[in-house]
Amino acid sequence: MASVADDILHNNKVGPVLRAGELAQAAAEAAEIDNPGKEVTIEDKMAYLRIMADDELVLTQDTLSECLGRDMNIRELEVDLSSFAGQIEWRPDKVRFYFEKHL
Amino acid sequence: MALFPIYTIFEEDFVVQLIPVDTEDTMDQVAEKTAYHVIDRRVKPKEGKVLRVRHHESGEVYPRDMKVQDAGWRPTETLDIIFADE
Amino acid sequence: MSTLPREEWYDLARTTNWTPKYVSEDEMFPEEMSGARGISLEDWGKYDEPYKTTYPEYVRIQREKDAGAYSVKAALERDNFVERADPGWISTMKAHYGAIAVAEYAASLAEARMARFSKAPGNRNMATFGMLDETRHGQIQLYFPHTHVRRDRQWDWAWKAYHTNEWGAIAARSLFDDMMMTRDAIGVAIMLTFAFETGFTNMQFLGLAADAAEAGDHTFASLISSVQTDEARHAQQGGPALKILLEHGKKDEAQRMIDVAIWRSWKLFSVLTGPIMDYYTPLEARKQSFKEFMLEWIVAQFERQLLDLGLDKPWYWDEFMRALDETHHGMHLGVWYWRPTVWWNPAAGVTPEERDWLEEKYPGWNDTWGRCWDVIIENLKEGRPELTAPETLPVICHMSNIPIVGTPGNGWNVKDYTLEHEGRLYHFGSEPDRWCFQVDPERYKKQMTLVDRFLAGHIEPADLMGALIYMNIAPGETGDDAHNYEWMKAYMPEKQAAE
Repeated sequence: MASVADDILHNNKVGPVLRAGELAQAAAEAAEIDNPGKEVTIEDKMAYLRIMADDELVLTQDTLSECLGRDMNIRELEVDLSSFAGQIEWRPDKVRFYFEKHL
Repeated sequence: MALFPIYTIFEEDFVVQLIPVDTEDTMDQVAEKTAYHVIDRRVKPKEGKVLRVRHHESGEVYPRDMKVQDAGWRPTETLDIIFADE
Repeated sequence: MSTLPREEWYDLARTTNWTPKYVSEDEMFPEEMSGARGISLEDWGKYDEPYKTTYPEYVRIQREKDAGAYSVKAALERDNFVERADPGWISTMKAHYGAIAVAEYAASLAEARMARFSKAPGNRNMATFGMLDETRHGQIQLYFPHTHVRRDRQWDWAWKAYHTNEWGAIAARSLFDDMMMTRDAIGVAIMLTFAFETGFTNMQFLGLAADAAEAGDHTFASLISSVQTDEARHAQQGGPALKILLEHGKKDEAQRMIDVAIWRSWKLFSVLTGPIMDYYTPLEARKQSFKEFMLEWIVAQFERQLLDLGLDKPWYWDEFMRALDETHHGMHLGVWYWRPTVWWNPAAGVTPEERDWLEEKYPGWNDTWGRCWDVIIENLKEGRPELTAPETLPVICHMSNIPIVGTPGNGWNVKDYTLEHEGRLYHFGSEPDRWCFQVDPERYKKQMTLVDRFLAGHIEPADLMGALIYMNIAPGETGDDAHNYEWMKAYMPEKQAAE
């Protein structure tokens, strides 16, 4: 069990966990656009959506607004941002999830 | 004669339980008092086996006719009750 | 009127480590409340919270969150989900509300401690919002179950639990008092916001939300996942505090606080969340097993973040991972067997189909816990229900305040970890539980477990009735099998055929 768990522990997945809803859907779409060249994985757990990429994942206000079909402030993401993997950095127009160390 | 609380773990059971015994009780009686709270409740009896009292940490198995007052236990001492051939 | 964007004024506005003139720094920030650990006010001023917010932003966002959660409740009220919900799911909600709702107010006090006493201005600012968050969590998680109080008295335990000496309530209080009420500001930042809220609350508020959505309880799913959006913000107070401790060579102390908080939280979740996810939640609604949720939230997400911040796996890692396969099965069996002593009705969760699921998720289940359940099932089948009820007390761990359990049957490994300290004999459910005590015996040595209280004569008469009175469990509140033993039909093919 400990070795299986160690394999699970040694991942580099970062990204938001959003409550199910239009914001989550928009974020899933935006993640693909805002992180070109990255493999973005989506896990749908019905109540929440886990959006992941290795080492770093960015969501911008512009892309989110575009995917949502209306203007939104990046801070509105908090309404549905229940959790996230990695560390977080908020900028005026984007949010970034990241790890400092790649394992 | 005095009430004496011990903690026992019965072989194949899942939990440690409080068992009030008497200082005059023999080890067989200690085993029996524990068995009341385990056998046919969560563990099936084992035919042809007897129950023995064993110190949980040291592993010392006590003589069946030894009395609680002679075992040198502290109140809430932890004991295993195990199935044995004799 | 144009206003400056937040990032242009925020740092300056919350730089509030002024030089006190009328009192000394030590009077303003007593060490026992602040926990600066010899790090200067100036250095704490470098604390950089990654998740910043301002009051206008906070109010706007929180209003939107509440509007969402309350409107889902209102919209689904007529749907009357609770009326037709599986009794196992009802028990899930009752256990959740009783164990969580009032503790949120304690969390609010913990946030208040940081808001007033932390030497880091950013911590003080964010904790002010955290304090409001926790008040919201207390209120909303009392308001929702209150709707159901008319159904039966157990719902009232959403409020009542923490005001009693019910054993689960003692255990929960013991953990939360330790992390929230009796630590200095930095201790709270590390143990509560980082270890507990970045880690474990995700299990109860998101993992369980996934099950809730599958079970069709969208009100509950929406409520708890909304609560967790506040946690995601205010939990970010721990990380920057950790960074400062690490920069000042205090890694060992930080690691110790986290290791204690993780282990203690794990134990409470093993008795609360484990049985809910693997036994009470209807089989078809189980999104993942408890262990799978633990691997997702605690191992892959939380522990990984811990490594990123420069900390290590807890020293008891192997034991922790081993326990993920075991502990909660014992807790569940214990809660079900001692079911009159809880404020909800535990679902047995051991029909043949459920046992297949358990065997698949936890290979060997049938040869271990299944063996005990075999005897229980046999007794119910043969009309000996009295043998499925307790006549003595389980021994309670001096750290976790929950029963000491292990694997039964073929994997029998039940072990009591003892310690004699200042002439008193203590009992623990695991090596890490004993270690938590040894780290700080002064903090814990006077705690009396429910069994200690029984032996000291606090519980009278000294029997189950006396214990129920002691635990404030009134008639109509005592737990019994959630499905009123209906599940036993699956084990009585002859009778079923005859009907």
